[in-house]
Amino acid sequence: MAWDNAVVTNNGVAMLQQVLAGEVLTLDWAAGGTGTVPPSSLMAQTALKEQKQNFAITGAANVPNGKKISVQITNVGLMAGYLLQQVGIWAHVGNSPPVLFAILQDNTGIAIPSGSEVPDFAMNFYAVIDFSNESNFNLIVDPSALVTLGELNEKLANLETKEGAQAKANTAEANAKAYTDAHEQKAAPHSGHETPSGAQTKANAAEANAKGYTDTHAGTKNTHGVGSGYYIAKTSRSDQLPAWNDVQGKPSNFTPSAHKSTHASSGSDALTPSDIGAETPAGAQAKAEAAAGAVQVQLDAHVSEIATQDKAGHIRLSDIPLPTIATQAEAEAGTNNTKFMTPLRTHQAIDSKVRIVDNNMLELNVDGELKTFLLTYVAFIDNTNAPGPKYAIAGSWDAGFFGEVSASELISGDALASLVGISQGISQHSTAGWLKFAWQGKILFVAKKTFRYSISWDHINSANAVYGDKTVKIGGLTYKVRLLKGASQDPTGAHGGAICHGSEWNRLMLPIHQEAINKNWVDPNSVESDIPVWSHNLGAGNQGMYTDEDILTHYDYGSGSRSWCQEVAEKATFRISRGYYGVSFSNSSTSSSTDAYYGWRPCLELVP
Amino acid sequence: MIFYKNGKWHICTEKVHYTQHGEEITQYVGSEGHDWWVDFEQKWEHTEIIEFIPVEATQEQLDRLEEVNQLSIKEGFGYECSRYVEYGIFPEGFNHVLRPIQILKEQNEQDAYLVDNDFRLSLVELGVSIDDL
Repeated sequence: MAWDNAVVTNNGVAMLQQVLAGEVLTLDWAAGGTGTVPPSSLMAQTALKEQKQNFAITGAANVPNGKKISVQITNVGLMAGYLLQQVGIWAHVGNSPPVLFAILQDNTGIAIPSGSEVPDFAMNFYAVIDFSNESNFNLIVDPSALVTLGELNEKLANLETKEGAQAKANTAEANAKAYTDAHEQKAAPHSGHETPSGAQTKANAAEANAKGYTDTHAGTKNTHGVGSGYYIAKTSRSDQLPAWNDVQGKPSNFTPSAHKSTHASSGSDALTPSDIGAETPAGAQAKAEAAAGAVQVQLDAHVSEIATQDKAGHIRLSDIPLPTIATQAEAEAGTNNTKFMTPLRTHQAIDSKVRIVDNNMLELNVDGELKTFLLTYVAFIDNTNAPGPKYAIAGSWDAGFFGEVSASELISGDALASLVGISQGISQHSTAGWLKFAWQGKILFVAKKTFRYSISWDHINSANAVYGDKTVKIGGLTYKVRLLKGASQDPTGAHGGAICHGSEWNRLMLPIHQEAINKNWVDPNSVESDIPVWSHNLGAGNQGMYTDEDILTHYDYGSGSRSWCQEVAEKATFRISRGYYGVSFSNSSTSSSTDAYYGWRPCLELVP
Repeated sequence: MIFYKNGKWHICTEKVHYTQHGEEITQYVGSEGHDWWVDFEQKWEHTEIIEFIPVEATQEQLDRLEEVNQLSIKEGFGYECSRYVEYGIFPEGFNHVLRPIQILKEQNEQDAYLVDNDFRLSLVELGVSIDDL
């Protein structure tokens, strides 16, 4: 058994350097294994070739220039024997985890039998690690380690025998007795002893002192150290009997017991009306009659009072003249100042001065001449600094229409494309302008016509201009750039129908189209029943409403009539588009499509 | 190949050849103009212009452009008009903005065919073979 291939591993060397720098090295455990590695590779090892079992480190002793480490090898719990060719020692520094510190290797090895083959197999293995004695060093000794016969004999040789211990005890007892006997024979007084007469003298003096203190002791609360809420009764001496004022904590009031019967008219201590200042029945009657007489005098005087022009008093209804109602002519002339106006006459008088005609004109009587004024209905007012009309034509802040905004007021299609980084497709209608809407409390600008055609949804998305994630500054205001929502859910699961109901496209683009008047939608399934009519006269259609040509929502009127919208349609690669056969039409197509039908109709959402 | 500006259609004078997100693209410079592309390239790192390519229109293309402008076709029909001006292709169907031109051309072709056919018949009646001419 050579075991001459023993090294401190690279990790061990590093730890020893830390130890030399003041750190504490702690040996944790050892382990045995089979198999070998080339000696030149030993220092680089971080584990045994094939670890078989753990060993306990049972001790470490200083040797010149190092430590002799004792490793106990047993086969307890070893199910199968093996050839022990490597022994490793794990250690750690500080809070670092244990690593392989040193490794010993022998090509011949030691046969370790299994526990069933050779019970109680045990042997010690010693390894000398070369490092300074002065280094900080800890050792974890495994308490479960078995003790070898040699170790046991070594320990027993150092134990005291029973006979030796008894002899030492006998000697100590004899010494103690001799000391006690010698002390007992010593005469008092000396340390620890008092004579009877001396003790009596001290007792008499103590009794006299106690009596004197008690007789002169004052009896106050404070002297006795009694706390608040407790009182000392001075009854032990005749000169300290408590006076009434000396009684502390006594009640200030005493509730009398009921005794009404003694003061009743037949009681032992009956009260008279004069005792309590009460009126007698006869006296009270006299005073009541006197008061009634005084009131009668006042009443008689009041009854006789008659009203005059300048004095309050009584008046008969028959004396009041009936009111005279003004005629319609008098009411419209407005000159009589003595006749009364009924609600009818009032209405006739107002109607002769001002009236509304056809719900959109006001006729005003100015100095006898009727002048007509055209009325503009204001649904609500945009108080933001957004460009375009401030007064809404129809709707509400939830969904409303203000009218058109020119490209010069907001931005052209080409300028917006450059601003957001869109170059795909072909520019058209760059200066067509914008439609200004209110939508759920926000201001939206939607391109009146598509600004580019032959453009794919993917290209718009690559510019981050689909969902409003990109913002731009125009005229000092910030806008989200996005597409309209053509459906009310995303993904839609379909290319049209009910999924379009309630969408931005339906609630904003449909009410301004002429088909809103008679609900004659091209794609009726994609339109809910309550689309309002936002009357305006900005279009070329019925009652001045927009046509498909006005807002480019039909292929008859040019390229880009299908406006890309945000939503994923019935397939993951499909996107919703609105328009093509008319404003209500909804369809879908692959997001990469660049057909000339597809167009970019951006929506600018004002960021408050 | 054409774009709409100031109430009429124009031939594009150049194409722009550029890379965007690593992809090479060539397209006509339309109504947005040359400077729009230069500005676009300066704004966006993802786009780099390789070159502007001059476009030389043929006489046939210029003639077809003139036909289109005579119809006063509005903006928005760039796709149909471009295909016709560049390649002489009419849109499918009978309801399109170039239908008047298409009808005129078909009429001219038919007239030419009839004249030719009539001439041939006359030669036959005179006992002259077309190969003798």
